[in-house]
Amino acid sequence: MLDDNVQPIPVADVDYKNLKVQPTPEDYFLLSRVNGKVTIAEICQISGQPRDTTHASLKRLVEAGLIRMPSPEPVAASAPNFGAEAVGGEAAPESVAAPVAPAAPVVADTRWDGWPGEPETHSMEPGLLAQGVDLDDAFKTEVSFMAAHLSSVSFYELLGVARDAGRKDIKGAYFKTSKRFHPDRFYGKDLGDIQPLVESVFHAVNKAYQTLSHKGKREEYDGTLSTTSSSPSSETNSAQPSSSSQAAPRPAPTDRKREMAFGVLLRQGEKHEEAREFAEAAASYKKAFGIKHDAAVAMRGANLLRRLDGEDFVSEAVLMAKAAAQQHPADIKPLVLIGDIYEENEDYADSLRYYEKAQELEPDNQSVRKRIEFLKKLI
Amino acid sequence: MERVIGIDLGTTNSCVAVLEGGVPKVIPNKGGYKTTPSIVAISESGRRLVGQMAKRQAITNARHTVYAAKRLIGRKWGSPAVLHCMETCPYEIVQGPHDDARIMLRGKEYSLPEISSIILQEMKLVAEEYLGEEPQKAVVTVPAYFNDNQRQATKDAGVIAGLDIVRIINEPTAAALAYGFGKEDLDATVAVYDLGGGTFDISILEISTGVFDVLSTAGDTFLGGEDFDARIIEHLAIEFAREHRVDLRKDEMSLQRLKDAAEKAKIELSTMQETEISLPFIYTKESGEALHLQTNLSRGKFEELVADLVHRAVKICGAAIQDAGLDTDDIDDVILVGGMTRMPRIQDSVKEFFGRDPSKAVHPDEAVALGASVQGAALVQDDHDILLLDVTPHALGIMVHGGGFQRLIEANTTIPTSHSHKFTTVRDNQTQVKIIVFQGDDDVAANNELLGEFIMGGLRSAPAGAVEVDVTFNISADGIVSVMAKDLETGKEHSITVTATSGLTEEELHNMIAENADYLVALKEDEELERERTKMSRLLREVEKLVTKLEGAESVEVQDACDGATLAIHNGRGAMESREQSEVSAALAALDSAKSMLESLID
Repeated sequence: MLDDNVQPIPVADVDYKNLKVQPTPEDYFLLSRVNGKVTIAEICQISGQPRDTTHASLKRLVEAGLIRMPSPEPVAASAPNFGAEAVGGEAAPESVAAPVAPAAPVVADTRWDGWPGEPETHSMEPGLLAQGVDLDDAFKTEVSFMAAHLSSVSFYELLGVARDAGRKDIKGAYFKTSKRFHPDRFYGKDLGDIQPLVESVFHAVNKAYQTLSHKGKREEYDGTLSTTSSSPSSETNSAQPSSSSQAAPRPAPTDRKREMAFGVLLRQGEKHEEAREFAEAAASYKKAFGIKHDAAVAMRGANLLRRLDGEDFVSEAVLMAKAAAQQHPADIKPLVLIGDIYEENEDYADSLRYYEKAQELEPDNQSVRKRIEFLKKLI
Repeated sequence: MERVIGIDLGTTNSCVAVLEGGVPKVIPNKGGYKTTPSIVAISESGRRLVGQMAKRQAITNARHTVYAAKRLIGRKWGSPAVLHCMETCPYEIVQGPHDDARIMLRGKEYSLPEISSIILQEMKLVAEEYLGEEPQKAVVTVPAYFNDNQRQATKDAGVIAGLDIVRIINEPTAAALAYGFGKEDLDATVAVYDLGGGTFDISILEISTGVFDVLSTAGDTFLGGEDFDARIIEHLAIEFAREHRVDLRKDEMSLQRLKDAAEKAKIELSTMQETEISLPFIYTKESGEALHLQTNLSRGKFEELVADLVHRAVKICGAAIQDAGLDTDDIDDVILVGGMTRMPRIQDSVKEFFGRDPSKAVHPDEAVALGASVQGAALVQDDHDILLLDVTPHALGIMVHGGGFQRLIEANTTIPTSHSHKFTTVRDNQTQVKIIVFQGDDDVAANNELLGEFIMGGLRSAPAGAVEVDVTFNISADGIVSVMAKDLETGKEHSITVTATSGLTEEELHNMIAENADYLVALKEDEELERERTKMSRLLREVEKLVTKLEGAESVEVQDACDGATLAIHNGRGAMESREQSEVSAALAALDSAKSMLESLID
């Protein structure tokens, strides 16, 4: 199992021709995210893939020698806690001014007790990350994680207090949590689709406190908890058979959402392209590809990248084109593009290799044949 | 950073404050007063008068002077509140097109939000004068016990006044904010006893780490200073009738004078044991005989007259404490807000009930506006030191079969909150579900406040119980209710903001906004004209002096200049009379040049 807090480091000067294992396009996308600063937890968030798949990808990248894990060191200090900053993320200023949880490790260790995992392990609906521009990613994941599991945690777990917590502790926890999730905190901010999640979390927190702060209600609630220790939430609901004001968890990620996020990123890319900001445009296309493995968008990104100066751009262009090739193994365009890029950079052997692959697919393609003849002469 | 002003829109007086340099500050009006009477009048010439100006002329213009409009806002025609005002108020209340109450002033109907908007507008101008720029956003306070209709109507008033009301907060909560502001280490349970001009509220709050959590709130929107005044008026009128067989309350001007005298006596009795009430020539009989009212009122007598009112307030305090699940011993401090809490008997009753001396930490007239400005700043600022967790004062529910009231959101639930409820069809092939929303605390739906009703149509024809509609009731942080219905089968959504029929329509609102904008332009023009006229009268005097000085000189040049100046003076006088902006401006320019011409000749 990979440690969530590890920040993988990209390996420089890799010989892409002789990789021990062949990474998938998804792996290449992840590779493009690895910069030595993002943690594995964050990579899991942005991958658009289930956590296990992401871990497998990262392992493949390590095996291929494309990334390496830093030597183990104590990471307790940066352990995720309630109110933790995004590491290297685009932390919005308001998160700094919201000292909800003290950095005391005691709190951090118990905050998510009883929850199915932690926010960092939560695979967030990728489209949501593009929403709520005024929020930092860590907060978005936390809210999304909480909203998804509201019905499966007890009121105690929701507030992050022990079962035998006193009235004062419960009040303290409630005040802290409220300060973090009350809609007033986001007054005038663009939350996009995150808004209903924040609201559902606040409503649930509210309900939890209303129950736990009332002696009679708390006793009644405790009674329902002890009878079904395995699934407290089902009992909660049956206490109010007719209806429940507890905010319903969000529906599972829908394709429509993905499609929307993909569209947003695509438009973003086009805008950058119009403004002749090719590097930014390519980055948007890359993100879009992460959400939906669309070969066309990868090709578009690759085509932009190859026009930019700099070795990094070239290798990224190749990666994108390879990703496109992986999506459409029968299409020669990505292969030709890779060949072109290598040829431009005077890497004739590699260039030839890809043209030959293209020729295998379309033996009658005249221009490919011409390139091959030309390259063979050069070599 | 954008500024948000805080406005305490009171029944008798209003107050505006702003957070400046981290300190909330009340803004005084042009007259130097920190509060402005919530009175609106239309003069005989059709001019709009607000505040002190309106109050001053109330006696001679009682029929067209509106006070205590807050008691009527958001009320339905025929409701006890409206009936009560019709009996006691000298202004004419008429039925509006949406079953609402309206006020007839000089032949024109005014809706209550319009009247309140005039006061809001005035407070906005007070702030504008001080800030040097037009404030766009405001937090406005309402009594905690206001229901959704009253809150909506108050929001409408803001819209008409051109103010973006970013939040409506409860008056006692605002007072608590003023009390707790700047006290970082405060960790206490406090009671806010707010007895204002028209309403009584009591709220119990826990304050800790900058969070203001309202545990419970209770109140009476028909218990306030006006009721105390009314007892004195009644007492005086009955005494007078006993002696002279004349009911002073039937005569507008006499009633207005009685009202003024009663308020004055009430205030005086807070510091004195006895006060003299003297109203000479209060009434003239048909025979021409003039009657005078001359009497003394002791504090003891006054306290006797209002004993039941004081008791009512105490009883409500008990209910609030109980709702909070506390004992009076749990209360660490009692905050008094509202002018009426200056009355010694009130203070005594509070002390008796809570078993402790009430705090004098906040100013009873200013705390609410100060707190509103604190909340305004807390919303727009990026540091989140202060958080308000307020509650809804009334239960929200629906009418169920048989006219019963089914509570969906209980009173004293922290807002914002929401509640979902599944409705199923009760008849075969039923294609519509009608949902009637009420707010209140009575088990019979009809005894509560009707917020609105809506129909979710287009349901699939199916056997009874087969179709489900999911309805979500939502109460915003303003305490305003909205409802969203969703057909679970088709996913069809139907969203409504619950507004009872008495609310203003979009079109009406639009017209009112336009009218108000016109008024504002006219007001600004008037001010400009007044400034120029003042300048002109000074110039006229100066030029006249110069002309007298130079007249008789032999020089043709001087003679010409004097002639020109005389003409300018003549035109200036004409313009002063006509009050035409263009004429005034032209004459002013002519006088100015005449003056410099003459001055150059003297040198």
